[in-house]
Amino acid sequence: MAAGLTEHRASPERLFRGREKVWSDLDGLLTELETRPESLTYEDVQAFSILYQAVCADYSLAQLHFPKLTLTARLGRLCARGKRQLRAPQTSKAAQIWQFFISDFPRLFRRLAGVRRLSLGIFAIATIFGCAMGWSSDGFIEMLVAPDAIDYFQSGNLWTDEVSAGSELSATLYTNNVGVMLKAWGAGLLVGLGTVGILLFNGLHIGVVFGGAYRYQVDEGLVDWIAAHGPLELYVITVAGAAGLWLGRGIWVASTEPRREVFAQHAKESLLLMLGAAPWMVLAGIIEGFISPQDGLSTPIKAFVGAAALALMLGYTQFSARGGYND
Amino acid sequence: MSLEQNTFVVRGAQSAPVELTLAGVMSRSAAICIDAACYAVLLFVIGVGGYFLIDSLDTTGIDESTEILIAVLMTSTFLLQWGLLSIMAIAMDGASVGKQVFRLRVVSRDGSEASPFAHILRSFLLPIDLMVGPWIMAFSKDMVRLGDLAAQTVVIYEAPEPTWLLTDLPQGVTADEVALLEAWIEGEAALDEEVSAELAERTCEYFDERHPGYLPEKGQGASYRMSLFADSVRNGL
Repeated sequence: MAAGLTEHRASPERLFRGREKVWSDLDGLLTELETRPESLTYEDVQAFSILYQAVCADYSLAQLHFPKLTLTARLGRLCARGKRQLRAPQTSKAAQIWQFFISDFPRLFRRLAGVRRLSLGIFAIATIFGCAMGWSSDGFIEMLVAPDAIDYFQSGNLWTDEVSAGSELSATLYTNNVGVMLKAWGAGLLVGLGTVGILLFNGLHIGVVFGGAYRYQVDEGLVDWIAAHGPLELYVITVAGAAGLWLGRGIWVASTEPRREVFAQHAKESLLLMLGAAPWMVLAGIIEGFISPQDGLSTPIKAFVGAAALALMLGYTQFSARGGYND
Repeated sequence: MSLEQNTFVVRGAQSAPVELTLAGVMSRSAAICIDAACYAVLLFVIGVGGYFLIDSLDTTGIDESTEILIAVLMTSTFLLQWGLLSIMAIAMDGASVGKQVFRLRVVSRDGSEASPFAHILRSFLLPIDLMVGPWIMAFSKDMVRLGDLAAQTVVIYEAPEPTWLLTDLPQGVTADEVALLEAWIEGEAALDEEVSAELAERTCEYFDERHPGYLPEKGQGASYRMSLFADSVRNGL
């Protein structure tokens, strides 16, 4: 059969007589789909299904017998355009974003509880170790915080005392913090080790600051500053770390599936985890910019705000979209 | 998916193999450069516009408004830095300004439209790909960078639609004969006058024998007849 096909001197005219209308109808439908999809009727969609299959069949014949003709290239382009429309999202982009925050992100957040705990554990251990280091020696403070941090401690002040509340401070903080989140995530490409490094560094940094502040007895001022935004901000940093660890896992985890697919699945889930957590970092930045610097608010009130913000995030992620198969 | 040279094959209806042309490293790099220029221009506009706005607000002494404006500018700059490529790709169905110039498009590996998250993932991994991407592409069969690997996408080249199409064919014409006519229409302008005249003579002789009446104006000069034929096809679409 194959030998007969290759020997058969097929005529393009014979095979495609009368097919021009089918091709131009599909061309017209595709143009409508690409420019004004909302104008299509149910009948148009049915027609598209029939026309697309017919053109693909014509293209298969053309490729087999006349692979180099312009006509074949045209049919190929029609098939490629049709293929692009086949799995185009049916819901609006706004609906997809809503679905993501209402359902997809909370479920993913719960499913990745193990790696979140790992990230939190790494950060916590580094923080405790940093506290011990900051409490024990000025050298660590100079190395990990800033050379002039000790001057502030020794004067009984903090560098946060000079900060005034406002939009500019808030924007500076949340853009910086979301940038840190992105770096923590991207560092996961180093088989997760980059993310571990960032978690360790950030934990040590925070710990050394606390240890040094306690040693110089300015810890009350630091707690006052950090009480409102700290719990939420630090927790979201660990979530970003979890996203980076998950991304790295896609590179090393053993699986029966092809590595490319495993990596792609992990990359998608890690990005979704980070994108879902990013708005909470913005909230933490807004709190840090407007509430934390307020001298008129007492520490217990700021602590209440901090606890409430963290509880809001935990409540949303733990209780939203419950009752699914994976829950 | 099978690969031949720089093509990427996906399956259409009834498993029809649809060949897509992969975009090369040079065209993709050039497209990135154009997108970077767009980013720089937008950044400049935001910066200069913001400067004049802040300056005008400062003269009236409205501090809170200045702060809010600075916050808006900082947020806009941040979103521009991390989101410009994603926004362009989502809004332009897998293309960007640079990709449009070179007729490139990002699609899923099965040929369908890439999802918004795929575009976001590709753009977030671009800073890393600027360092390692060319190396990965050089050793990759289907010219993918790290962002493409993660998002399961490929970048294809969309050839422009032909400005003419030879559809009015004589009965019993073979593929080789159609290819001969198409080659003539495509390349007649580049032919030397003597060569063109001789080819026209031979082509007219051949078609008058095999498909009488197909080529126009029998009895006129061969070059004239072939030019007339080519013009009629070009003007047909």
